[in-house]
Amino acid sequence: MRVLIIGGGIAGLNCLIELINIGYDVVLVDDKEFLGGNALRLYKYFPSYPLDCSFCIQSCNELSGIRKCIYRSGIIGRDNVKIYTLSEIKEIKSVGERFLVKILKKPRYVDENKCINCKRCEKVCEVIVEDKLIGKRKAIYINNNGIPPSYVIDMKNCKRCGKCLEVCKTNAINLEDREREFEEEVDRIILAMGFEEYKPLDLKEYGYGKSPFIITQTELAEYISRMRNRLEINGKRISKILMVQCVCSRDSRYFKYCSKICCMYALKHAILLKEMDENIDIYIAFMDIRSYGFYEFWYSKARELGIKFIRGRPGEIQPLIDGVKVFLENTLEQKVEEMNFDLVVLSSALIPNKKSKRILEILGLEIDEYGFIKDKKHGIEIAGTIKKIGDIPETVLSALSATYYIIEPKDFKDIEERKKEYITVMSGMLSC
Amino acid sequence: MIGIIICRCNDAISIDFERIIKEIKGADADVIVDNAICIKDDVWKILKERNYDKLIIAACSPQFHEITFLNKMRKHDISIPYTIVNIREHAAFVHDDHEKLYKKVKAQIKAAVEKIKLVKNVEHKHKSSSVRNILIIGGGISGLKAAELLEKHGFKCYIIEKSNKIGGIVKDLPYVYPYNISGRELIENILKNLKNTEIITNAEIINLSGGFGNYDATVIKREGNLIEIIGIKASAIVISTGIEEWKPYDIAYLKYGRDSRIITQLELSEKIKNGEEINGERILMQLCVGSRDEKFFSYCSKICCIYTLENAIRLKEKGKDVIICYMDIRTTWKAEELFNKARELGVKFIRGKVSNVDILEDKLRITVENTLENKIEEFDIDMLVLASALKAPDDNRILSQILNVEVDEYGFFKKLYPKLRCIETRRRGIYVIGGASEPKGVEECILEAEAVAKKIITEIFTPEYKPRAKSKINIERCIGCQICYKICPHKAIEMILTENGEKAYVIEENCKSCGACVANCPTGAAQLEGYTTEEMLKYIDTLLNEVDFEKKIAVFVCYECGYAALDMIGLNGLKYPEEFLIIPVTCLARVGALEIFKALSSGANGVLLIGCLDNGCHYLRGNEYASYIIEICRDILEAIGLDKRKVDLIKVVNADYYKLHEKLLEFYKIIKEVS
Repeated sequence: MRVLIIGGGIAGLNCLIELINIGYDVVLVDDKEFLGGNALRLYKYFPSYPLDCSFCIQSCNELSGIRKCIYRSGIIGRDNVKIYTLSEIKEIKSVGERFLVKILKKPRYVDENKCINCKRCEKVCEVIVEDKLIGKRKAIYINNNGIPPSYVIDMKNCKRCGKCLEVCKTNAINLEDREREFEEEVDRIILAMGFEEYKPLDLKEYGYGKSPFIITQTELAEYISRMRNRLEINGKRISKILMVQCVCSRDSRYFKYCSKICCMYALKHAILLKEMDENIDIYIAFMDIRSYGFYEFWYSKARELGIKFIRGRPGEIQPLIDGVKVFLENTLEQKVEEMNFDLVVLSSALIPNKKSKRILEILGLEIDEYGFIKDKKHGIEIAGTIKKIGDIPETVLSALSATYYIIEPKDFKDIEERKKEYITVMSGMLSC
Repeated sequence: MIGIIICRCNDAISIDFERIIKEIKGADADVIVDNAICIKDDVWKILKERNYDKLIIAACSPQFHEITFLNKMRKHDISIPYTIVNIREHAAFVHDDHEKLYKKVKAQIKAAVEKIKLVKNVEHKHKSSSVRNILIIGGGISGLKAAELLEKHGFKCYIIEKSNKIGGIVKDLPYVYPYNISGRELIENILKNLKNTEIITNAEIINLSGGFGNYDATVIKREGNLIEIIGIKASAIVISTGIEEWKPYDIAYLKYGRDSRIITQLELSEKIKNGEEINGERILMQLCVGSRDEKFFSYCSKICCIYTLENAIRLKEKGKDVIICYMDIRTTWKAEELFNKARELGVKFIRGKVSNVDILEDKLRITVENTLENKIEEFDIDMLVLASALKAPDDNRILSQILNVEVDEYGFFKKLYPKLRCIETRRRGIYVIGGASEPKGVEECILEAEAVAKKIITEIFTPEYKPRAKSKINIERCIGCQICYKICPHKAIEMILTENGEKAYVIEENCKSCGACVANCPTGAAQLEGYTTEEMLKYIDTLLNEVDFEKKIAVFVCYECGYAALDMIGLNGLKYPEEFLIIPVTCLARVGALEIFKALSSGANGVLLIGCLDNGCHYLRGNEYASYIIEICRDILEAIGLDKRKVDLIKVVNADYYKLHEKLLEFYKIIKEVS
């Protein structure tokens, strides 16, 4: 059985692991340079306390341990896994029980099968680019936590000097790389396109986009993962932060649903910042804090650490030269306060990945008014946040459940036969 | 003959290979230097031709290419013990001094050669279980659903239910969100599909033995005075004991139990389900009774908001007056529509808590502290409904002892790892789903049932190709001290009675090869192939004696988070001194005082242990054991007049690799100071 997974985030990768564990062939298509999706940008993630990395997935059966970072999850170097990065689905045709998929791959300029990540090209590259996530990087770059462990050239900034070509002994670099089309035949499809954060650009009241000091939660996560010891934006040390919950979600004008995990995001970031620097002042303006279930621990922890919670919403957010002025309506004390902050962080609504729309149209799946998938179809399974926003445990569970409906008992005979092969080869494995 | 391949990695690893070959090549070892062995095929062909007994690959971090190399070996039909030496991320990428780098790499390879000489070619037999039975404890929605899904794949399920009725808490719900049908219907829909499942009511499990694939359970069934003992063989066990509603007798001022007009939310649900007339016009509902309360249950019960709103909406539609007192309304995701609907219908929401209840003849007088408007309000109502906390059944604690899995302070079963392995427990083959691990909604219970079905199918049908050797106990040397039995984090060790007294025995299927038993066995009876005491000591000794640096620091690093963080230091271009000599182990649990003192006696000036964060050990307890060992070693060092700062433990994750880097440099400074 051959399965196509669209989307290489936490949901897609966990589906992949689950499928290769039982010996299925997998084709994975993702539109980014590196697999990992939103997880690569979120730095650390609950529910484990102390917090550990967000880019952590289940480990495959061949490796020991219960979980692995994405880069060492053991999905590269396999014959039965094909990964298309920087790719889009162009067409999906049903051919009998199977699907014929046309994949359009944008140029990466570095051949993933030839790049051995020796880092020599990076050393000779002279272009320095400021990256939101990685920090300072060259025009030829890699995300060490992503997959594949292969470089990519950012052609917007590349000067085509050709120095990297000289040092690359495996001939992996091709500056004339073009868009290419691939065809794959698969039996099943798993959709795992995930979510993205809504950018409240056109909304006057939040002032988003008008100042570097008004950002969203994922942008804050990127800053935290890059800043390490203290939070600095545009050279200014941040010491007073306001987090605004339910931006556009639970709002009849935009998204009626509750985005479920933004409260936890905010608590996570507040705690991280407070642990990084105890003198930082953090205020959270909320309607209801939805730290459901065992997550209540995080709410108590945040209060213990001295994070201030204000029940209310900002009436207006005005960007200043080196900060933000906020008129805060405190519904608990029934007054409007005027306060100045160094940074305002908006916990903006989480919406389905915008690029998923076209694929859903091709497949003819029913979606709700916001673009979330309503129900699956024969041969097509859904995993992760494209169906329902949730935390990582829920995403992993939905990946497991999607693969449950993919597997068929008749395939297992095949695996029984392969059993012997595995055992003789791996009998002597040791690491040191 | 030992074959050694060294990868030049496109000259990123730039050492004097000629000298290395001269040093290492000999009667028992052959060296091949090649470039980019991860993408090329020819070197593997040569390996096949030369027919070595053992193989050492000196290349990049095995974390990248272990699987790649394995697949290449499989393709070329090479089946010998091998080991990967990381000379890139742990050496070439982090050091600048060529001479020192050369010495370090040489020592690393030599140590690996000495170690692999001791390794025996072990065949790991795969025990496949012919049993296709699953034992499900608890006949609630999650258990039933799991049985339905597993049945489709040819499993025979046994559901044992403690009470005389199946369906758990769900069967009494008049409406189940988001399905919009009654709980009974939902249960009946599943029951219809069950064909090959045996449901045993009034039954409890009283004993369990064996390991994954071959569990032996003893179940006792009580029917009146009749007691029947049933033995069930099961390949896996699913715990789905569900949740119960707490009866808030302990909150005195709520006066629950003193008047029939004061009931809990689920009691109201049952009334609605049975079609009973709800007397009275004005109803006040209080949320978070007992939950989110430090005195009782500090967690949030997650779903009470939802069924409270469901009930409120139905009552409001019948024309009743409904007031809801809340702290936060937690209708996550699309359940928000319930909250909106309730508000539209005119349900009154007060942010606050009931602080007193007066029972009068024809009404209840309720005092509410309104925290939003900062005032005390009084209401005369006809019924008080308490959305009481959802708690774990008391029997969970007894069950946890029988199954040998952990429960938390509230009696919920502990998950293997709450983020990614949330339906597994510390013992392989024992799964926990539904309310047994946390209060959950029906939708989530069904999701977990699907997930557990997949997990069980994967685990049982796929070959056990976890490649690492399993721990073995030499019965002759075992003195039956029970240390390994007590500390085994996955409870894979059983004590069995033999002619010579009690002896420890490893259930191989459940062993995850962490090595905790090896490090703590007082007689050396427990051994783990690849990490035996002999092999470890030899490795440490060779590694430290091969280099002639002025200062040497032995770094024991676990193969999980610690190793990844060290990799990241290399990949991100940070540097640290060559004096750090790295000794990887599966888990820090494998490092005992013996290994630490061996390193010190072999010339190390300091010993550093690097492992995962608290609650983040991949083998559950490794870092905890390591911190005890460090304490002990420090005490010993102090007692014999040495500086105790010579040994240290760092807990780190990949994302914080820069913190590890800072700490490495800090430790280096300390070592310079103390010696």
